Amino acid sequence: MRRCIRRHRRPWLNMVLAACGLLALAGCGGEGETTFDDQGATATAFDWRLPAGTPLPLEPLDNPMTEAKFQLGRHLFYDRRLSGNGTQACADCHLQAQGFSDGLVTPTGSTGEVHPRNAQPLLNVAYHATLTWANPSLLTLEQQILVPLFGETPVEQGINDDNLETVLTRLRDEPVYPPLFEAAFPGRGSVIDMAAVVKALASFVRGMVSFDSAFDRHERGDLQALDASARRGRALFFSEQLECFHCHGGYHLSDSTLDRTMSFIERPFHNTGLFNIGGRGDYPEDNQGLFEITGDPSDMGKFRAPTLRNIALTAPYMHDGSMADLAEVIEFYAAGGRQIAVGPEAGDGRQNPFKDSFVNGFELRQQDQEDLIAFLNSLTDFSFIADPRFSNPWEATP
Amino acid sequence: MTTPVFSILSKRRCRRGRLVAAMALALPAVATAHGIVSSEREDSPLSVGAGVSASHRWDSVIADSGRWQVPGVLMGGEALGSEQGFTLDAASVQLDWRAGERTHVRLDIGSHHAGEIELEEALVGYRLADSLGLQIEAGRMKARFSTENLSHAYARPFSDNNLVYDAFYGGHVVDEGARLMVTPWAGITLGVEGWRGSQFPATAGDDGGARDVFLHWRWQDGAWQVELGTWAQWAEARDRSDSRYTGGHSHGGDSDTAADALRFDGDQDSQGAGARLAWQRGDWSAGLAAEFVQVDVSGTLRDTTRQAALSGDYRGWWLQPELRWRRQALTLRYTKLVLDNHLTGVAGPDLAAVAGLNHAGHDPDQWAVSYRYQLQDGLGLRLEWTRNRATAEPVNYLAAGLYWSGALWPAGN
Ligand code: HEC
Ligand code: HEC
Repeated sequence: MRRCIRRHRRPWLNMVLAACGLLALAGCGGEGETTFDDQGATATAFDWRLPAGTPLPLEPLDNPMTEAKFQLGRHLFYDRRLSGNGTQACADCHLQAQGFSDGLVTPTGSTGEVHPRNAQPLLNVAYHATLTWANPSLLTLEQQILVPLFGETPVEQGINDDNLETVLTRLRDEPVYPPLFEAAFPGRGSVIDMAAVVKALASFVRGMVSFDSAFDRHERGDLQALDASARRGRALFFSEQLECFHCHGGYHLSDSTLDRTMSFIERPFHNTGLFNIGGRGDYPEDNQGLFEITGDPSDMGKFRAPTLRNIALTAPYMHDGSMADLAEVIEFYAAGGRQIAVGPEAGDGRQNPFKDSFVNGFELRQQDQEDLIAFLNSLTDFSFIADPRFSNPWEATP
Repeated sequence: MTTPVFSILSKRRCRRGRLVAAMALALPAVATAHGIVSSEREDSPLSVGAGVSASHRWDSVIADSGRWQVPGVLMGGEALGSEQGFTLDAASVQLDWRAGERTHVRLDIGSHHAGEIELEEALVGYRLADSLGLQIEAGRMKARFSTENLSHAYARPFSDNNLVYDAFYGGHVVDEGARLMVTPWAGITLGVEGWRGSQFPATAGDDGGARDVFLHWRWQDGAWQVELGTWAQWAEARDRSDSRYTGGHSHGGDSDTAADALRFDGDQDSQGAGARLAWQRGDWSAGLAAEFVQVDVSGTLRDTTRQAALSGDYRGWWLQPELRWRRQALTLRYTKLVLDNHLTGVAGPDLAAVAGLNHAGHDPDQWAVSYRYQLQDGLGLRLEWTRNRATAEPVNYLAAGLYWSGALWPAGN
């Protein structure tokens, strides 16, 4: 070593050579890159029209998405003939202009029975880990859609064994349907049966995806998409002080989220302290949430956290439609639960023993409340409620 | 030396496991003197030194959100980047005490980021045997595998931390552990360090921890001073999160709930080699420092619902020529990272996006020039220009600052 260096009379030359060597070394390997083997997570025959980077929802193996099924489902969704007495369609309780909810406290079925629950908005339903307000066993739309069609408690569309053939005959008599069924279920001829109806309806509802609210554009990097007030509201929403994001977080704005990228599936339900009848933590008898299914006393009053997308369009709020507007909802969370002074439902929901610890109450100034509402308003996807893709096809072809 | 070096280089040029080539790159380089206080002071058993550096930067690569992410690598530890405006780059006080014949104690209290005082080192050392210079040290310590890991902004040409260390070692490795060092021949130091793992890229506790081994060789002859070194580090992490912006540690950065929820389980193994060479004649001195680091990351990246296997193959290197004349020093630094990642699993693309593992379209690199003028003993003025392409958008900025370092005790040293 000593000899080598001595031999080089010019130290600079030595260093330059060395530097070149280092550069040559570093040059090899070329540009770095990030590559993926997503194991089929992006394989689909359907054009989901999702923004880049949004994970795809699951498609059932026995009902993969196709455009033809989606289009058939859309016709069925808006068709009142798909009910026992021919008076009610899905779209009568799920109205596009209202984010596919209905603006009522609770809806009424085709035979006049009142549903105990508020009609849910339909958008990004495909991303919910369970369906409806509180049912851990409803995992697919194919299962869930049987409920409004055939359900008896309450009766919604009121199809039953007695009128089933009548309903199917009505559909078979409609000249628009045979080619739509043929396209949707090729190779079966134009068989019109309930199995096909359900698969098509499920495909339509599954395809109702919305990711174009001001909030979405903001999260994709357009910082101007939210004004200053909504940005402050966003910070509050995602703060440990208000805790909203624990249950309404993520791209789906609900902790009950399922998509193809997930390995660990959670199906959470929460009691937010809406009731505390008799101080025992009870909820009204017709609406006890998860408890109705599991019978586990600690599941009393637990409901799925809904996505807050389009929330400004879908008043009134909560599973029973008992809150008229967003200001009331925020005051409820600020109080850490609901106190009902008189009547059969009297009780201090703040003390509900099954209440989730993230609903704790907090202090909000007037400005904070306005900011939080501005943020909730930014979750509205106006293009979704105006999109002809989801609109009534019978109006176009009367 | 030169001939064999380049023959190795040419043969090995484009192979993986470039350790051999990297070691050969133990090129001549300038020593950036780190230790202000020598623990071997003859007269006083106690010596205290201090240093401080403060700069004003006219821009920064840190995103508006305050989060710093080099696209293509999981970051953590104290890699916070240099902020725009006036910042205290570093301030620290070191105390060395020869507690007895064979025992020494070192304390280093400092701040790398404005406001946060940390115990950087608190160690006790014991000389086990004189013959081989066998000594053991334990406590909270900076890893000694590379001298660059010990550098402070006031004692190196640049106020910005080394990009290679920010990307791979969370800024610098400080941890609780023990070290055994031997000097079998004059100038050669062989060391083994074992760490609890409380610092990025490792984690403490079950399945965590880190170890490294290093070999350093120092040699001086007339006008020449050469320092060569090579090391290997093995770090194991379990449930590692990027704690830079969480837990009351926000450092001005927004917490990003998606990124904060990410966890990594796996290993980061790295090997490196570096060299510093200095040459001096009269009023002139020149030097070159360089280092090459090869990193393999393999493990699982996950959040509450998703996971994907991550395999990362990274290279980072920097080259730093310097020229000094009397009170002035001009230094250039080029740093580059080549980051290859492969993710397997349905969640790969999403987790990569959240973790900042997507490649920016160019390899992160940085050019920097520093001009220093020594105003008086220990006190200097520094002007820097940086072209920082460590993130997607290149940023050019100027910085001006002052630095000082010196001995507080014994006075007059
Ligand atoms: C009578 C009004 C009514 C009709 C008609 C109706 N729904 Fe609903 N829908 C509701 C109510 C109320 C809920 C909440 C049910 C619950 O929680 O038990 C709901 C829930 C849903 C959900 C679950 C959404 C979620 O976020 O989990 C889907 C999907 C749905 N309906 C689709 C349909 C389809 C498709 C049809 C037509 C076949 C239909 N609904 C007909 C009132 C109605
Ligand atoms: C512990 C989980 C949890 C937290 C925290 C939480 N929510 Fe909810 N949220 C729910 C659940 C569950 C429901 C449905 C409750 C019900 O109907 O009984 C709900 C309902 C709502 C609704 C009505 C949705 C609809 O479609 O009717 C709004 C609006 C809402 N939450 C906003 C917020 C805001 C704002 C915050 C923060 C201040 C917040 N939530 C915090 C779980 C939570």
